[in-house]
Amino acid sequence: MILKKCRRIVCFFIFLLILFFTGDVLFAQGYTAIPNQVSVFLDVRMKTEADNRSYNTILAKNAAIELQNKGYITVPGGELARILPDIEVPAQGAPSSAVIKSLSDQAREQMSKYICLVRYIAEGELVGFSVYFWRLDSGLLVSYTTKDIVGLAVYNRMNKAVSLFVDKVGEGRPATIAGGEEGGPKQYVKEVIVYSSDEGCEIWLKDREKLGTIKDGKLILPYMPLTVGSTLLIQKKKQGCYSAEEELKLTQIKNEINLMPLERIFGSGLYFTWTSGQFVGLGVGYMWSINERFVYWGAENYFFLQVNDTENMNPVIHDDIRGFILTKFRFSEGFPVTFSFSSGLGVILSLLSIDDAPVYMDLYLNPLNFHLEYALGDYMVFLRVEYKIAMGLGRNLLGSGLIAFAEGVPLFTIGVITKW
Amino acid sequence: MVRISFIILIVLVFCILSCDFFMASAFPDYLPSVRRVENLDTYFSNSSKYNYDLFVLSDGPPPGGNDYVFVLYKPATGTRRVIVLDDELHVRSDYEHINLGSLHTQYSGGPVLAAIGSRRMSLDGTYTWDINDINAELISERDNIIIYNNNRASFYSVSIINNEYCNWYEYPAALAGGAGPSQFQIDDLGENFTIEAVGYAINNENPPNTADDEVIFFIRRERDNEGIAIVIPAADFANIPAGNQPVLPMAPYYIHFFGAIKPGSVHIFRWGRVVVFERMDGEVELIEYDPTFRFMHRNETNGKQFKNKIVAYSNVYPEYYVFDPETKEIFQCHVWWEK
Repeated sequence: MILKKCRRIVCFFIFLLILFFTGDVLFAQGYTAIPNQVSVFLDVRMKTEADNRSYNTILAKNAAIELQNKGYITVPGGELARILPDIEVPAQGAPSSAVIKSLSDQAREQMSKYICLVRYIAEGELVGFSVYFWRLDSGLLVSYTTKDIVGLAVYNRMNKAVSLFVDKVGEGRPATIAGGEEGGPKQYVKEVIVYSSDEGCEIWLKDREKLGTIKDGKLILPYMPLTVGSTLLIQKKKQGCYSAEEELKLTQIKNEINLMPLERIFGSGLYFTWTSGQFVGLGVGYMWSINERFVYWGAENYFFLQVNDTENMNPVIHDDIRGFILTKFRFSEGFPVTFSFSSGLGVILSLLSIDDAPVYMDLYLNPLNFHLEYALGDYMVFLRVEYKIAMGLGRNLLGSGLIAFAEGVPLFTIGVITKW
Repeated sequence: MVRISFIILIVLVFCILSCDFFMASAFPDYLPSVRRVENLDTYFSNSSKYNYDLFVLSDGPPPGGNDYVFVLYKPATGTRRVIVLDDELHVRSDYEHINLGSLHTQYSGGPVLAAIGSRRMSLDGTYTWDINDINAELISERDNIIIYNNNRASFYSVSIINNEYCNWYEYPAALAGGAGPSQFQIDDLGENFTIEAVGYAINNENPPNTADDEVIFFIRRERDNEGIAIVIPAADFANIPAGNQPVLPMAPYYIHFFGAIKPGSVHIFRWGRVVVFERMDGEVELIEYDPTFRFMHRNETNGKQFKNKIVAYSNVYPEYYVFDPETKEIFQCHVWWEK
């Protein structure tokens, strides 16, 4: 009797042991993944740690955006180096089964249905870019590999890889936004086209890298993970012009933006003027630089008639000829407003329209003119305040003293310069 | 946005520059009205740009009258000099004398001459100078003007006028030790006045009737620079009013108030029918009277064009003269009030 009871107890314990060791198999729940969720893993190996960190971020965001745009939920799986510290993962070639198994385990814990591994590995001057997609219950879906120069072409490549994945499995359900917010997913900018009259102008991401060159008046910017409503700060560079920054407001999924024209570096220029109190006339002048961008020589001629409204009036002919030196001050490169100071001397020749009229010569010093200028591409408009001192030499009309058109008020001139 | 603001800026600048204030030229406005010009630097090359006088006298009414243009340089010390030009700005006389003063004589119905200090020149085309037969001691400076009235010369002394009385002397009696000054009162309010100019208005009647001629005093009340024209029949100066009644505002004398004027800016010409003066705001105003010496019409021009210049008007022709003491240029211009 006792032996029978012992036998029952031993069997029971053996049963428990078997159950202990095999329970996870026998009693394992069936794996239920979130059907449109992808765990994204990264393997970035650039030349410096700083670049590694930078591209980790870029690629993670890029992959997330591409997949989310297609209706998938993404969860970060992490970096290969951290997940698999003990496994040597070759830089070349597809990941081994051991690697895939480790990634699958992690993805399963995250309840993902798919795994995405993005590899970005520097190979000399080029970089190897690879994207792999697996479905946990069936295996490899996509293997996309390219070699490129380091740069933003990766955005296009990611888009391509995800497109291949979607072609295989279709688009996912619209992802819900984390936090339970209602509404659709964030909108991402798909296209930015910039138009510019500055043919050959280089467009750069500020302080980073070149996005392209304006050709035939436009440039399609490479894809960047930017959301609708964000801004993009670019630099515009062109030989012979002052560089400038411009902030692009990306208000649409597809954006077409006209860029402000660059200001041509002012080497020399022809200009035309109109002066207060001498409006029945026109001035023409020419300036050329001595010290590039800052100091200029100039010569100007202003011809005008003086008239009044009395009976039998005879117009008086005046011609103002002068030379000057000008110094230009800029607030900052690319800012369209500048101001200048100039000095010089000149003479005003005058002829009365009567018989035997003498030619009057009013020599003057021009100690100071103040210019306020506004650049408009190849042109510049300016306002000039002039202080001229007549010297009273020879046969003259003005005597000596400040040449002004009203009590002590100096002459004003407006003008436009065409830059060469 | 930038292009719109640029366009607005240009329009704004243009509007500002279109205002009269900004349309004024650095060159004098009278230049397009110039008919003739002459440079007197060779005569005044060693002279300063101060202490000049300019006046124009005529030897008769139009159409036969001729202008004589006098440019006088009268420094405080030393020899004085007068250049006389005809109405084509040809220099006809260059005369120096220490006793050259200011103009004392204007045309009237009697002999015509220019008395300048103790010297005089007959306006007879000979341009010759001799001694002024009027006692120079009685004639000090600028405002003592002699008016011929029916072969009598009468003059006043400006220094007395400030006590609201006008002294009126009669030549030749006064100068010969005869009757002293007659006096008439301007007002009885205790105001002080200065005589700015005196004119002798001929009533252009046919046949002429000198009994209707008038004397015009243009005075300035010193308290507020009010310009006042007082017209007194010339005949009354033969028998000076008793002096019991102030002139202002007594009838039948005509009185006209002009508002605040700048001292020393009054000219009377065209036989007393036209008055030009400068207002305190810098505008030069012209008043023209009809033969009955009633106000006819007025005109004005920018006075700033004459700053630091000396201006004198022709009695005969629609012309005036501008002398620039700094450049020594003298201009003959068509009058500014004929548009």
